[in-house]
Amino acid sequence: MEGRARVRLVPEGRELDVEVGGGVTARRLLEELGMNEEMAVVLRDGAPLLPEDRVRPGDRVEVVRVLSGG
Amino acid sequence: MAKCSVCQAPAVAYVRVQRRYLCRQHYLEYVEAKVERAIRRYGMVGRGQRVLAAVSGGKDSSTLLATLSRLSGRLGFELIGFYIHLGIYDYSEKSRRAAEELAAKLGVPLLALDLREVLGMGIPELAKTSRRPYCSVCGSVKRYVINAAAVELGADAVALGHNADDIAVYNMKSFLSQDLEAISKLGAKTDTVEGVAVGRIRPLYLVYEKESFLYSLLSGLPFLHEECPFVDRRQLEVELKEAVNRLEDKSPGIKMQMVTRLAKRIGDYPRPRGEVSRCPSCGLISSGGECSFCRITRRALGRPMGMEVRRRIRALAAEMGLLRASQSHS
Ligand SMILES: [Zn+2]
Ligand SMILES: [Zn+2]
Repeated sequence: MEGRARVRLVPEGRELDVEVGGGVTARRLLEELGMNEEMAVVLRDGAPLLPEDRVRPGDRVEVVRVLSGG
Repeated sequence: MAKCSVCQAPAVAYVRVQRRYLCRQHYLEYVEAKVERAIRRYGMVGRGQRVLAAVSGGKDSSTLLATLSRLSGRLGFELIGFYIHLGIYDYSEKSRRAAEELAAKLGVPLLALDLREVLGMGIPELAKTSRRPYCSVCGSVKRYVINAAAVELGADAVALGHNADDIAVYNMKSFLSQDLEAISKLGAKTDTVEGVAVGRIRPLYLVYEKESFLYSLLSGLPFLHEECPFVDRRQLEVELKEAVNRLEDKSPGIKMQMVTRLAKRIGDYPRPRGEVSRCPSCGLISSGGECSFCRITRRALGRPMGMEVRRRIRALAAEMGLLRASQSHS
């Protein structure tokens, strides 16, 4: 049950594949990307995930940084 | 599947500080209640007053305009939006569209000033010809133009979209350089100086940046999620924002403590020295001599343009029927 999820970083627009094993929580995914719940929100189909919601292999999610810089 | 702690509907967000889940509707109400609490606690707006909200097209201004428009009926104030087209290429075009759609959707009148129509140039050219850093020119210009609009419209307050994270970070940044005068300006509201400067209020003072983002997203309002092309990602503010959010992650609620305690002690910080005076060129606030906007435009264009900006705003306001009766002849 190994696999990757496709992650799009917003606002950068960069996409990357992240190893999620059999699935990781949104909170864990943010940690792996060097972020946390205060800094970014994970969206699937445009809807925010709760911290404990799982991102599974084959999922496409957006990780939206909420920090405004300007 | 987690359920809303109020109504048992499926939850869309988790509020860590309160350890509870909320559905879309109750999340929106939770943020609106924070804005109302800030307005009441800090005495930001009174009945019958006119509030000019600065709208940039980003998430914070979207949350600002939406929450204020929802509260304006109950709290009895009048709301007008104000947008400045800064002439920053594609970014400004997109943000203008977002601001216009937002105001239309909320049914709030929006006054939009295109800097290029008054100055013949936008921020990039203005920064180049005046040989000053982009972000500092942009900051001065926005501050000036927003205040000028508020004066011309006879507004009682200017509402800015700074959220709790912004305030916490400016506070820390100023603290690091021991710029205590700068901290004195980080309260929830500043005073009006009759005739030259309209007081500013920060209705999102108690709203976290993430909450502001989720509010815009969940309410389905248009907002531009893109950064200004001139933003410098290495700047200290960005580093501090990350540091504050790591603290918040470890000790939920620490940001809220920072801003509420700051608001309590704001009067203990020294005000900037020097008298408040009138710019000899445009008549608005200056800290002695010509104001920074008139100086920048004088360097770039050979003459101070404050008066022109004021005239243009007045004309736009008259076209939209927004001039207050007491002002229409002066
Ligand atoms: Zn609910
Ligand atoms: Zn001036």
